[in-house]
Amino acid sequence: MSDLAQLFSTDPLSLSDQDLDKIIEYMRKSRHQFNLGDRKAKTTTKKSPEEAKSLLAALDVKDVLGGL
Amino acid sequence: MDSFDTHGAQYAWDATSIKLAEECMRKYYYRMIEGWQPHQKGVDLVWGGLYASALEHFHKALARGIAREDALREVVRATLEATWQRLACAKCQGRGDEGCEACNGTGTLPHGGSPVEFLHNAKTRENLIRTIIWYVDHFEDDPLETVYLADGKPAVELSFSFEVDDGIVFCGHIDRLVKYGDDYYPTDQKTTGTTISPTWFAQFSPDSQMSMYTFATKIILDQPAKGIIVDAAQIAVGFSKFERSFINRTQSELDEWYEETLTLIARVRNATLSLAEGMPMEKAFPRNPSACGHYRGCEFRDVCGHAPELRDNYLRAGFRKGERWNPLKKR
Repeated sequence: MSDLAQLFSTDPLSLSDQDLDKIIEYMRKSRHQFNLGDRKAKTTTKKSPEEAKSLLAALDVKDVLGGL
Repeated sequence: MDSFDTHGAQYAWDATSIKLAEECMRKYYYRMIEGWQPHQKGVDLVWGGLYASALEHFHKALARGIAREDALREVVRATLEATWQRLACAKCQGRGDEGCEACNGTGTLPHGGSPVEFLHNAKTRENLIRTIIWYVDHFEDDPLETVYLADGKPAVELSFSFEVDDGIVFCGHIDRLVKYGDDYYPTDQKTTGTTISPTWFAQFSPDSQMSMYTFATKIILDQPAKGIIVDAAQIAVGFSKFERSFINRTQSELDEWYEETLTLIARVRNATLSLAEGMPMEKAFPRNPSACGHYRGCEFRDVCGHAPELRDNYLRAGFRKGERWNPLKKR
């Protein structure tokens, strides 16, 4: 059982201030990790207008529409 | 204090009962007149209530001058305790008898027990604690200032009730009143499993809860209120995400809501009085079939979906008659 799981399965009345601080610190780290990943995801999925134009140009749009 | 008058008609109205009557007269009858309740409260309601309560306590602690980190620690502790199922005292059989040495009159043993299981993939105990901590950090530099009332108390966990026209009382419970720049707003916490977008916030215009809280804020503070601030939290398995939106209401919109609501209340009160005078319930409180599929489906859908002569059996099987919702009950 991980430290965090252990803390969550402990009777709350037995938890010290330090135990609660450990939970808070763990959750803050997970938020930091999530925000890093979220920012990375946003930067890799969003294209600048120039990039988007060049991607569209690379596609044979007429062929695609013609198939409809 | 009861919310129903001597004729059995509701006179004290909160957003919950207004929205029930707006949605379906039969649903209103089952819930408000007869007091039918599901055997178990839905996880969204319980989990969302714990979350909103934790944040109310956090803001209240800040308003009392407690340091942010200390307030957070205490709210985490209280929420862990609120989501811990203690064992019933064997000596007094959980009654909480005065003078019971084993439980000190609480009905539960002070040690032992287990975490509450929410039986939901995202709305878990751990994710509740995560969402509280992430909310506090997300809004660390919050420009919203808690309003202090004339008696010096912070306007957090604010229960209100005041008389309007025709002897009707409006009542409810506002999470927090805040000042943003020169403007006053009530705030409300919402949780959802879906992505929060402008389209998601559009569900609150029109919406009687938002209109009523804006209306009430004007009465409570005797100051103009532009609308309500909704802090929404998306709860996913691996993350919680927050968005804030200002749900605005103009004076003409509030006037319209007020007139429509008094008309609705008059219709429900007339239906209740007609029922007392012998009108069949089915006629006084008709079903609204187009509302059966709202949200995840009405809780009474299985009852209303069967023949009238079978409905009592389905009610008794799926629900219990408990203390009916009392809008005037202070939290």
